[in-house]
Amino acid sequence: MSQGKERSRILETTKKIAELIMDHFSKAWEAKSQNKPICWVTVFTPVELLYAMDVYPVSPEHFGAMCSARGMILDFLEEAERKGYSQNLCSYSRCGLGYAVSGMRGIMPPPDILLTFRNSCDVYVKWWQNLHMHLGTPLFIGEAPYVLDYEDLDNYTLDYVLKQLEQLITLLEEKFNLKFDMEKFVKTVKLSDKASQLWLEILKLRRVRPCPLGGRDSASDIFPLVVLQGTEDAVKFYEDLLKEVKEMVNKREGIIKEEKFRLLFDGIWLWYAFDLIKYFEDKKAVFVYEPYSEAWACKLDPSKPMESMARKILSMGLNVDIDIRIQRFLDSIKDYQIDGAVLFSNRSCKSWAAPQLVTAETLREKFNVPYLIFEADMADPRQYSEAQVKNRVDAFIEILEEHKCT
Amino acid sequence: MYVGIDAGASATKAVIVNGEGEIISYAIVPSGMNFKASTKKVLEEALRLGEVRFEKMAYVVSTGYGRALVNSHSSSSEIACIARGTYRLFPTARTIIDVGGQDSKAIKIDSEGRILDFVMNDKCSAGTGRFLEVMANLLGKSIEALSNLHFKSLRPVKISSTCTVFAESEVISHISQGSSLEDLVAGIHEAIAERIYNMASRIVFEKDVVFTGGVAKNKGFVDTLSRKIGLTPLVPEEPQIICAFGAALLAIKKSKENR
Amino acid sequence: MTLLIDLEELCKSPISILQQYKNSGVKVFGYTCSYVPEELILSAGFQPYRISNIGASSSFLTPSFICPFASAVIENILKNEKYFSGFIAAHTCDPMWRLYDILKKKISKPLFLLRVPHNTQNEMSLEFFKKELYRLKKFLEENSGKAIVNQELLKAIQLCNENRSLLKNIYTANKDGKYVIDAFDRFQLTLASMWMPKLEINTRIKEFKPCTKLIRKVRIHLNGTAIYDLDLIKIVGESGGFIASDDLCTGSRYFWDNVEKTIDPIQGIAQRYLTRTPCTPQGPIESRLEYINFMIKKFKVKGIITFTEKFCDPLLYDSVHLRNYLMKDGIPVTLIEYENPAQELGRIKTRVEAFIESIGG
Repeated sequence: MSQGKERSRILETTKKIAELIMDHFSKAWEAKSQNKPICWVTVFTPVELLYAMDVYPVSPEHFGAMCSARGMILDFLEEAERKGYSQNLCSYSRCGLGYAVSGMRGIMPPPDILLTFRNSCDVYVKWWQNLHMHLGTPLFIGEAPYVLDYEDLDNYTLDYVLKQLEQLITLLEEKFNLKFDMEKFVKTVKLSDKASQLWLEILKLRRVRPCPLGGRDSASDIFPLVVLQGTEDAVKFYEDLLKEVKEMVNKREGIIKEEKFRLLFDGIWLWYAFDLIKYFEDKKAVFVYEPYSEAWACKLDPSKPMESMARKILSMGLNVDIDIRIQRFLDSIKDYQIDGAVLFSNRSCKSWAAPQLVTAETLREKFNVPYLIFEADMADPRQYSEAQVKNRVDAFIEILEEHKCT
Repeated sequence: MYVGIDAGASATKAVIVNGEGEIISYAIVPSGMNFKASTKKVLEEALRLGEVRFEKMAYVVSTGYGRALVNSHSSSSEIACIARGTYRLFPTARTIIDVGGQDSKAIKIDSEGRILDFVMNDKCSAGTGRFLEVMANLLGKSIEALSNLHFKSLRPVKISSTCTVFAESEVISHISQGSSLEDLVAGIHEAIAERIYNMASRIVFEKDVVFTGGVAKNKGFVDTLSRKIGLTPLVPEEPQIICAFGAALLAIKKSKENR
Repeated sequence: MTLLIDLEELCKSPISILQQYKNSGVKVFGYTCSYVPEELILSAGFQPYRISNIGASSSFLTPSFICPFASAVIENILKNEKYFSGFIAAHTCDPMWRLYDILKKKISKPLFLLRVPHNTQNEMSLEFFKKELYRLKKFLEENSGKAIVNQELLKAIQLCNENRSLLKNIYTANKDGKYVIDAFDRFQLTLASMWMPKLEINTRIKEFKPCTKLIRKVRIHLNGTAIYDLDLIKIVGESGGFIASDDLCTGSRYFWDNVEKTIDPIQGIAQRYLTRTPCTPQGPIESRLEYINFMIKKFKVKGIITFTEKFCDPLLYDSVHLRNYLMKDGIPVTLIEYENPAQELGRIKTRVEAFIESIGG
């Protein structure tokens, strides 16, 4: 890991994330002590709804990323593997399951309810099912059919999700003696929308040369939209971040000293290997765009809160048609003046990795942009061959240099 | 004079070129455990063979697995060096397949020699020179001898294990069942060619295909792989030094940039 | 139209029948998964053909850690696109889902994705699935150039029901521990039903004469997902085991339930395909465990072999509970993973032999 090595420069506001995370977990434990229900969610679920109903959400995926970044993940992985979970399964799930079967005496409070919507992968459903089977906690599995085209955000596909939201609300009301309040929900939707708008504005400023916010920043800065969307804290954070980024832009200051290559990164970060980002930066390459970072923002319409929520569940991340996803990539090449693309073939995210090559090929065909695909795991440090990955990065940078010359 | 040193996992190679990129001399020594020692040795050897004095070396570029440990002016990735060296010898090259001691690679280049795509296998020894070494050892033959025996085979033995270690057991059982040496050798070449073909398929083969790396010296292997690809490959006279040659060519470029 | 088909040859090389279809002018629609209703394809005037992994290895288009089965299916589609009028993929598990994404960029023939809900036992899901089938109906009509009439649907249902009933009769002949029909033959007939014209395979099944011999072998239940490779079936037989029952989608779950009579045939089809015992990525897991339990009791099973492709997430997550569930009844389970069974038969046999020996073979 990066002990003793120089680290990437990060923005001042980004440094506040650590505190935000601790705050989030303290609030979770506080809620627990007040007998408020704790809900373990997979990301891209209607967290705004939960906050409105005084149910406190916690994300085991985020927990996995955090454990990995802090070097604390191995024990949980081994717990899960001892229980019989294969090493070929998603490392977030092994971490979460390991935590769940070993007493849950850490930072994440035990769940009173498990909520997932199947809008990213099989793992969401299977992992949550397994948690339910180990813990006995009530489980709600929501369906989110694949959005084949924009029509699906208006037709029976949307209705299907809307019906399930109603079911979810009824379940929460009955189980925990709560009452759904539309006014409160509209409030959280407004806040979530505001946070998204701010984040999108910040991301747009990365189009500037030199880029004011790099990969190391964006890795942490997404946190408020992962599990705090709908809160004031999220809005405050992005307001501060936007201010700092605007200042950087005004001063024409880049996040790295000398910017030679502007890169796209497709994937979740390697949480235990931020030094990889530094390795790129030392070669004057800065990450200016990540579909992953953009994926957390979603515009919501407070005048149609339930519909917006249903559309959000359907249209997040990997749940929209490949051509729509590829178009996002293609648009970014020109907008962000991208020289090359780095695609992380993540062993823990098969749903993402499976069609990655086809996506990369399209990049090359349409824009002649060189790409590098490398394989590793996002959270399990045992599945990362540092020397081999860096070897490929070296070759890639040389290819970029040749490309620039001609 | 300009030097390229390829510190590979199995062998260390040095190539000395003049200002026009013509090869003056080259040397190959086993890498052993100590890169510093092997690079010193290989450089001395190359200098001696080329009758070049140490002081005449203007710029040294290192490449290969152990490149960071070599005393050089700068380093470069093997992918870039192999592409550069191959393009210089064969400007019509579009697909390069390099099989070294402990890894194998496939590289796609365009008509200007720029790299379009590359694939590497550095996880598993079954598609590398190591596989042949293990098998040659098992059969009690040198790798050169394997090459000659290959063409006498009538029916290559099928080796289905994907792992070198398990493949070894398979070969042993074939030996005990009385398979001929020639058929075993052809089967071994078939197995390694299959692994490499599978790895390289993503690149989509386009002519001209060039084979580089130490294993390309083995005519039996070249024969098997070319039949799989369906294209006749070009093979340089000394395929093992192409990477170091590319590094030496880069040394010329770098030294000009520095002035 | 009579096709020259030898069942064993067909199962060794399922692609071979495609050339015959082409020569006879039969239009074929390929599908990838048991959730796709054959009845709809038939009623549109196409021959349904279930695409397997036989004859192909993993496509280089997918990373090394993606289900090799799905990758080989992709490869088979890419290699044999010319024999088909179109393809129907299904979103059941992730690799099958992304198969659609990849093919969308690589093939030119019409391609449809049937979105299968995870929850298979609730009203809302059934409603959604029904709408999906209507959408599929429309797609097939667009490709056949004519409307699908109820008459054709009912005919197709009747044909498929007959096929399923015939297969079920053969399968259940082995109940209560009898050894009547060899697993190899059963699987051959089941698989052939996915590739051959229904009339012809139904006739073949009716003509099938079981070989009754009383052989003392260890009764095994085969668990897994989609298995097309009959060498795997053979291995169990050669190792002293008799596959008395299974819960595969290319085995008993292909024919266990029939389409019931409903006013709207699409309703009946939706009900049958969605609410039957679910596949591994679908739920609830309790349904599947119950089905397995039913099988092992009815067929007096001694042990369970799970054959799985490497990297099958749903199965790997399930297997933890399957083991616990079955441990209560004292039924031993073993999990055998492979990437390309054709290349790993030796290794697989060793494990199967060891397991069967350990449970009293």
